[in-house]
Amino acid sequence: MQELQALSPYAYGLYLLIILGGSLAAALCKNLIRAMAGLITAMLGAAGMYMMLNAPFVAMMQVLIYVGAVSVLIFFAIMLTKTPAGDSPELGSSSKIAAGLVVGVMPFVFLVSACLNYFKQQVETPPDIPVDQLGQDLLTRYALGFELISVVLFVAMAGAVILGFERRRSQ
Amino acid sequence: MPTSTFLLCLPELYQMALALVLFAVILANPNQRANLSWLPAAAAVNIVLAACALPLKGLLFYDAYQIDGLSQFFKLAIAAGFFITTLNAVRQPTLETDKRTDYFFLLSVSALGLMLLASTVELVSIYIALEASSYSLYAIIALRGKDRRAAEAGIKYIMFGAAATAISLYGFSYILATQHTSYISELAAKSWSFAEAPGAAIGLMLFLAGFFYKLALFPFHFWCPDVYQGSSNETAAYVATLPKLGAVVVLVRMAALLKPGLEITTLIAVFGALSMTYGNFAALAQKDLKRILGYSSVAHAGYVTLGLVSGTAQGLAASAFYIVVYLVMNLACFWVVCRLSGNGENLQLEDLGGLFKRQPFLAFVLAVSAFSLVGLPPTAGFMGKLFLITSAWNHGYNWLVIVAAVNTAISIYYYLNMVRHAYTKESPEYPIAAKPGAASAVWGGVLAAAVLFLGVLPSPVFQWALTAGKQLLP
Repeated sequence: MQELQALSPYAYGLYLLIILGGSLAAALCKNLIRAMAGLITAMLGAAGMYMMLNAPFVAMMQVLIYVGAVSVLIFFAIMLTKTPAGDSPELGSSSKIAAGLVVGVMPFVFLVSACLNYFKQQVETPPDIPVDQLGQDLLTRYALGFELISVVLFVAMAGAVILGFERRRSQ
Repeated sequence: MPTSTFLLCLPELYQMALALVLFAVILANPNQRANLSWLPAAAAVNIVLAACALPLKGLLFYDAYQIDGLSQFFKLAIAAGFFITTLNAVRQPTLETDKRTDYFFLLSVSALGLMLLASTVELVSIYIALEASSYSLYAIIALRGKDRRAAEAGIKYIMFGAAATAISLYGFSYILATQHTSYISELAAKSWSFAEAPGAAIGLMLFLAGFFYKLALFPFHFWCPDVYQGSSNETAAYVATLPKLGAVVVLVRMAALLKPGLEITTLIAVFGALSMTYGNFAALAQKDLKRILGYSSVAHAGYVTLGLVSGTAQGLAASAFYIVVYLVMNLACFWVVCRLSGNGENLQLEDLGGLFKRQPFLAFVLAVSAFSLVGLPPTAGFMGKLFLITSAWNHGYNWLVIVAAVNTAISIYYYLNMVRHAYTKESPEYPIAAKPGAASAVWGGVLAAAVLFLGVLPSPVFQWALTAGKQLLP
């Protein structure tokens, strides 16, 4: 057990690299399918983070739902939408890109330093929370949020259908 | 109070039923030619229900959903605003007929999300209620015929909105990691100073960012003029008014956690000052009426922070009252814009020329709302600003009060410029076609009367807000 504990910083670093690499690929790849592959990689990395938090159930759900189902859904969405006609607009001038980088990197640096300075690890190993307690909390203390998510999903689907139909008819 | 739990949340249940009926109408009419003239009347019923529900109190859903003075006050305002927006949007020239029911379905779900937002007192539920109200907006902003500008506005709103809510959720993780609870009632007992709980302070600021985005407060304001300009006039009237009620109700609840002098409070004050100044200066240069109103709402978001930073019940009440005033005066202003733009095009300042001769009554409604937006007596805007300024004075943010007063003076120019165009300029060579009927004049008159009424006799409404504020900060 002690040796495994000693390995945990390396595991953390590995998952972090997977997440970072995946999200960079998702953001920068011109090819949508490659960007999706990057996104899936990042989501797998997040599943690894859940394992580090001693939450294997959430990690399994992350793999099942996000890596498995949601990404397939997005692939379908990419397949069904028609690629926009004409060239994609050029990125702004190099000064604009530089400004964007500064604006993007600043919060990152600030938040990373905040995380490193103000958050200390308080427990040696995260507590093991059984699945039935998760379910009980979802249906008691967090019941309202749990129910409202269905409204959000419903609206998201309805909105997507309304906008999506419009696009198909105009072609 | 021995009331059944169903009765406690009657306005929300009614709003949900309305959304479900509209959904059934969509399903029953595949060709989407449903008659929707009943909708404003159905929305008006909810005003009565929300008014009856005003004195209710209770805690539902394992204490995650609180019915109190603040929530009922805002639910009534949301119901009234929803009624006016449906009335305004029923004859929408740029909305395709086959999308009409869909549009109102999404609109009513958005209002439902805002009503839920008014009552939720648990951070996860607050976040999800906010999402429920935003998702429907993401779709309806793009619904403006085949207009490219609307598609651009929709994409901007979604992208910035997604980023803002991601920041919000990230901040929530900080709060949960440091304070170990997501219930506002339990968070109230914790410290929020940077010295004692730096992680929590950063987290709360990030969490509030999502609501600053909805309110269009300074660093999160950039979507506002573009979205107003790109979306149809009627959609802009909704986006400009009701979501801000939802943002303010959460900000008022969260501001009850804060005291003057805390780092977060000072940061909110700085954002507020920048917001008013930037909004007013940017509005000076605009020609498009909806862009003017867009920058004006950035400025008004700044004024609202005056009440949030003082840390008193009066301040919270003044913020709540001001956002209701903002709702009424903006609805009045947008009412005129929508009625004047017969074909749904955007109006320029010049299009207002000679309005006094063509449509004297609409010109009057515009003048009343513009005076109120400036904050001149005897309009509601004046009383709202007075309450804000008196509540904030001598609570450590006097510089913010001075900035607000200076900004009011700056804003006189562009608001009264609209009135000047309407009353003294000649008609444009090809005046835009507009034939507002008697009914639209009546409702415009009702809105103008409400603006004047809240200015002359604000105390009934303000007392409700004050009771609500005292429940939060006894």
